[in-house]
Amino acid sequence: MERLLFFARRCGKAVLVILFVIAINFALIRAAPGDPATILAGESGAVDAGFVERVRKDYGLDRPLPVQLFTYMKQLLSFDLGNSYRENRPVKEIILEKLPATLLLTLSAFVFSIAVGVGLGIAAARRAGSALDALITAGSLVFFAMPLFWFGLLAIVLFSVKLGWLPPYGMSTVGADLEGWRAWLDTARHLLMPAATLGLFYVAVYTRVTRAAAMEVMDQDFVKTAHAKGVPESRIWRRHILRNAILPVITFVSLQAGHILGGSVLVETVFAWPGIGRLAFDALFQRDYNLLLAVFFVSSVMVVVFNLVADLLYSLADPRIELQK
Amino acid sequence: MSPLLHIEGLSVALPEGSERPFAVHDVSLQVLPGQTVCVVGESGSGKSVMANAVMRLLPRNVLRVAAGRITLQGQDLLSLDAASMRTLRGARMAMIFQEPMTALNPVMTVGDQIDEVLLVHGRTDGAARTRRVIELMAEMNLPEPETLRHRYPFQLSGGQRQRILIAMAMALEPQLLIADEPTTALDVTTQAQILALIQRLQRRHGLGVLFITHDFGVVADIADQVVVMQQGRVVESAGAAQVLGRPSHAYTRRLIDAVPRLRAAQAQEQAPAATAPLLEISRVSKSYRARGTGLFGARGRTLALDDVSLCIGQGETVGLIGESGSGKTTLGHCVMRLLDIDSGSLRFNGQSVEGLRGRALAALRPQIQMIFQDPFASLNPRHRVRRIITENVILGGVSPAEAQRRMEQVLALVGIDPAAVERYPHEFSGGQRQRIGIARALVMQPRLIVADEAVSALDVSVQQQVLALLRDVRARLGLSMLFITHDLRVASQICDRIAVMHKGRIVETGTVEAVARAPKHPYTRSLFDAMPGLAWERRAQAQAAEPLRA
Amino acid sequence: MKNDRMLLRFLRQPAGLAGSLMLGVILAVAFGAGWLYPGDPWAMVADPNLPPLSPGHPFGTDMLGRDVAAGVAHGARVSLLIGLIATAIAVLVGTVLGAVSGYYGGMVDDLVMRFTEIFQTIPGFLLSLLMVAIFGPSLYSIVFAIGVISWPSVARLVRAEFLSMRTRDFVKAAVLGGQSDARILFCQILPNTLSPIVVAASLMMATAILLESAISFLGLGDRSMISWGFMIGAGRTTLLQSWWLSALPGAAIFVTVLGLNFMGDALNQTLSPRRRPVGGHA
Repeated sequence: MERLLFFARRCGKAVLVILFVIAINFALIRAAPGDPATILAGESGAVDAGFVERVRKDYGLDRPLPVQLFTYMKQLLSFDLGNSYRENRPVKEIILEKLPATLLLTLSAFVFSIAVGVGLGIAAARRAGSALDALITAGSLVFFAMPLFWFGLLAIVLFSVKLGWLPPYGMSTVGADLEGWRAWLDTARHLLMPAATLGLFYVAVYTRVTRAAAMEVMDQDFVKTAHAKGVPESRIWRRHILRNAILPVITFVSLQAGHILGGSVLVETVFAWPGIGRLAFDALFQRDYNLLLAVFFVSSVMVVVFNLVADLLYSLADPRIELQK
Repeated sequence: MSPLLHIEGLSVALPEGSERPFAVHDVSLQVLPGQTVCVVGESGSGKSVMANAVMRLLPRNVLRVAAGRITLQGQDLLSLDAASMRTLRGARMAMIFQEPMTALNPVMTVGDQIDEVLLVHGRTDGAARTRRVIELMAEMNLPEPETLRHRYPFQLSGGQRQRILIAMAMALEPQLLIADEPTTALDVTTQAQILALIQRLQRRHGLGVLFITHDFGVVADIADQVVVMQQGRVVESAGAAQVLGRPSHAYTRRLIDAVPRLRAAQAQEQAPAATAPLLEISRVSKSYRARGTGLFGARGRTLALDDVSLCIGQGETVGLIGESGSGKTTLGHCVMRLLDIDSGSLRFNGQSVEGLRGRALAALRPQIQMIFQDPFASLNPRHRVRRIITENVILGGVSPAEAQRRMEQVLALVGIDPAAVERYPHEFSGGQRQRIGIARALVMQPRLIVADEAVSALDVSVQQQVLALLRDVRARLGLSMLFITHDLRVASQICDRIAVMHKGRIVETGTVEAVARAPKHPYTRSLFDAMPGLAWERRAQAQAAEPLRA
Repeated sequence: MKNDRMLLRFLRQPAGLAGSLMLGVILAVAFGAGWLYPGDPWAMVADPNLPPLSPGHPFGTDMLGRDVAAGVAHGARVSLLIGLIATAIAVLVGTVLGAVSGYYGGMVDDLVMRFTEIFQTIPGFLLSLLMVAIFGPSLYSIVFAIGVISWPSVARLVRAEFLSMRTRDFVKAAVLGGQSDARILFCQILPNTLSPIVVAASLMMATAILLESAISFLGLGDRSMISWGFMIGAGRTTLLQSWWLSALPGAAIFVTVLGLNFMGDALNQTLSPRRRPVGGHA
């Protein structure tokens, strides 16, 4: 029962965030120089007077401000994201088409970085002060300092151009009509570099955070108690240190969710990966602000959902949260 | 009888650059089966390091055993490999620590944590383990073991957590129990219960106990043998009766002298004032919102103060006695106007102060000052001592020259060298920092001083000095004091009257002597009964009285 | 701890030394850009597509014959400038909000924390792209955008510090001394929380430089100023033939950011020393 209440509260907070995002969108459109209608119509749409007028009517731009805000909120909450002039179809359709590619990329990068990052962080903490620790720490600092897009470009030069091992662009080989597992393999080959590029940066981040969290827990009294009980090292790490260190890591990871989506914009651009990040880049290029705002909105919703899941995980992991309310 | 634990010539080296080369130097002691050996010392004596060395729990890269032998029933512990040592820990020898809250894994149920000891030492039968866990919890007098074992540490009280830790230690019926200040963080009534529990376990299981403490009262109650440590060395080691009654080493004598005893009230230096009281607390109540609430939280209120009334006369020192959660600190904060009260009134010098704000409140501030508990947290580490002492005075409008004069006056009173004011707090010892804190309070020329556990964090010898200082200063300046403490004996050293607080109420007031002789309230009685070392104190007093009779 | 002793401790760590050296080089290049490469870095000065280590052009030239080294040198100024100002804004805003929130607690704390959480959850980079796109790419909009998405982490950090400090006895003593809230926040608590803020600021500057280069790479940089990110983006079209056009400016970013990260780590060790690494128990 208490857990349901807790979950309900978190959902309430999530809705608040989404409303706030809508408000930001609204404010940005209004704050920009120029006529909001032309901004929403996008560069190509602004040329067509008829389209601009339709936009003005759809968004109620001639009504008073509070009404506009209300209309806008209603629209976004029902996922009515407007129309694209360029492609002559609803933005929602365009985004839904490209979303799976981004999900594939970010989720694989995420899983990879968590698995490797947490593992390395623990390994470094276990042998703190040793050569391995220094190596892992230095390595993570190095990867943390590399601009994602630069690293991606260098990877393309090395692995695609010089060595010819991996395809440089896109999600599938153009022209080849593949079926079944061959298609999967082709996708996987295309996925490898972009996912690794995105993932390696976050491996560095999670390594640092996990190491710091583990080292803090290692110093605590209850670890000493476990030693005094005669518990073997491996079990101490599993049931005492890891179980407690994972909590701040979960918190941190959920805060980083928005970052990975930002990173996917860069990676998708460099590798021409057909996801919503690439879509955002194109929208920037074409001055299609409506599309850009829509991508921002959808990304925010995804992050909020992800945070809800992370919060739930956290409350499962930490008994103090639910039971202390 | 061959010894259970035998430590011979143990030396533990400190890392380079420390204030002394050894944490523990050439220490030897023995524990026989069924015997309790107490190791006493002040902070920095190395007693804790020694205890950890026996279990080989020293932090690996920081402290190192440099010399000596430790044997458990003849088996050499220091030369064992890690795996063998691990099998001994928990099974033949066990240890309990000082802070029960942090000593338990917060995300594991207490039942699982006891179960773990059994599991890692090869008890594979799950059902049998569960039975044993419940049996142990019952032996430790924990209520409803069946349901309690599914709870998490944060849901238990301090005393209950310590019992869980003892249950974990006793699970495999070890022969040796090492206890590192296990009751220091507990209330005095809880402490008495835990000590009784340990003694009962010892009798029933023939346990050898190595008990680390700084409290001579505890030593008097439970020790068979006493080992006194100073700066890493053993200065005296003999039977309890001898060490407590006829100590041979000067340091031991000094320590025992410094132990506060229930002092009979001295003759009043001045006649009880017929004038109006300086501070009148009338029917004060205060409640708190439960923690963790906010815009989206549930509401729950705890009653911290419940209809409290108390008076402090001019030049009088009133002690506020209570355990944790009694409300004594809250009352002190309300008197200081650091907190607002919900209802009731506070009158200082005839003036109503509970509703003061702004400039009126600022005018009141210099007259009521506070001395804090923790000498390490009460001074801003980034400010020099000069600034710490004179800052508030100067901000209040006093000229720098006058502030300088006052500072020098006050430093002379508390015994700090005026040349030291250019230094930072971390360059001083705990006792000296407490003196600086007192100086900071006195320089404002207050009428009333609230001392919130002002000597609780100090070593017993330093405590004695600071109490003497407070008595001296009080007499010279005619100060009134509200002395908040949990220790009846300390209160008797300095208070004219005491008020005992329990769960937000004052349950009894009177002079220490009167209350000690005939406590009216059951809680007060339990407080007095729980004081460690009562028997020893009475014996000492009887002995002291004897020469007069002849 | 005395200042000169702290400096020595800082430099004695390999991270501190390396970081200072790296950052020192970059700073020197940035300051000296005017002397090393006077004139406009956008100017076409030589044959196009010269490879690195060509005489007179150590980093080669791009497809229009512009000197890459000049671009890198002048780009250093832009990146460092933007990084510094954006970080300053974020630290200022974050510190003020965090201090007020942590010290006063209650409703103020709730509101500020909700606000901070919201800002931290939404995809920051996308928001900054949106802002720069809509307000028009310029130095000001970029600095503003980066500042706006960076302040939440500082606010959280500062709030945690002030929250723990406000119950310290020396703060209570200051209240009892009649000190005003502002004085307590500034003179009593803040000096004790500077260390984590400084460490966070150095790491934040590294992030700010990465963000700025990403924004420029995507084509939203200030067109009047040459920037490392822009150079990398421009070099994409000829990636296969003239890979150095993208690689070298990226290396400059890498060195700068790595230097800042090293320094941040070393600062952390210097200012809040842990005991020597505890390797568990024997």
